[in-house]
Amino acid sequence: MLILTRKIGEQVAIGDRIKIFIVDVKGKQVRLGIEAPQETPVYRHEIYQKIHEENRAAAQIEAGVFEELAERFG
Amino acid sequence: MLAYKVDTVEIETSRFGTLAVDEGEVISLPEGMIGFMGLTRFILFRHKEGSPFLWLQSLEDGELAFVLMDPLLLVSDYDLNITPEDTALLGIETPDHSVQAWAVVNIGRQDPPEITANLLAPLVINPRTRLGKQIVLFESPYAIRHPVPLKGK
Repeated sequence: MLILTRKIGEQVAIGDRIKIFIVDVKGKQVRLGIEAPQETPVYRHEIYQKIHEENRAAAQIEAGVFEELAERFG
Repeated sequence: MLAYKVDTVEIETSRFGTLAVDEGEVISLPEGMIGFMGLTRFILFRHKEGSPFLWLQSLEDGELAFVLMDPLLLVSDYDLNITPEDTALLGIETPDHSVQAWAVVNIGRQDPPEITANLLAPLVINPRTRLGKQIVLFESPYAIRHPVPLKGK
């Protein structure tokens, strides 16, 4: 992994189209500004990971099991 | 005769058998569902007449389908905050332009099984352009596993 030291107001460029700005640092929190092409989704990793797992599980729903539960909505 | 077939997509699915879909009905998710990048073409249909649930079936992978539901059935003041980038991606021209939001439904592994809906990352579709995106809401109070109430048992 590449590790860089940056100051507030400085940037990191990833390729031609992705830029990360160090906006602010307060204690243990860093505020980042991210410029990326529209087709490159940017997420907080831990939330992305959870949604990824949730989607993976949701894609496994069996029609039969769902059918039974769907009748009981309300 | 073949000319009639040009605008129809056929897909062999694991849950619904063979589906024939009008090209005009196809919903396009340029970024795919999260975790399923590259699968961008889907069809959305009601589970049953009068059912609160819908199926989102991939037209590129017959085994890939999601159950969706209207989040307003769970949280009556459900609110979406769509960024300008996503507004542009979905082709929403005016801020009040209506979009559809759908929560992805999951069935837990516990016994008896419980249904939950992901209110934090709804699939947002612009019905006019038929473009959609699963949007992760920032600074949002909503849960990834919001309980879906069930009657009986």
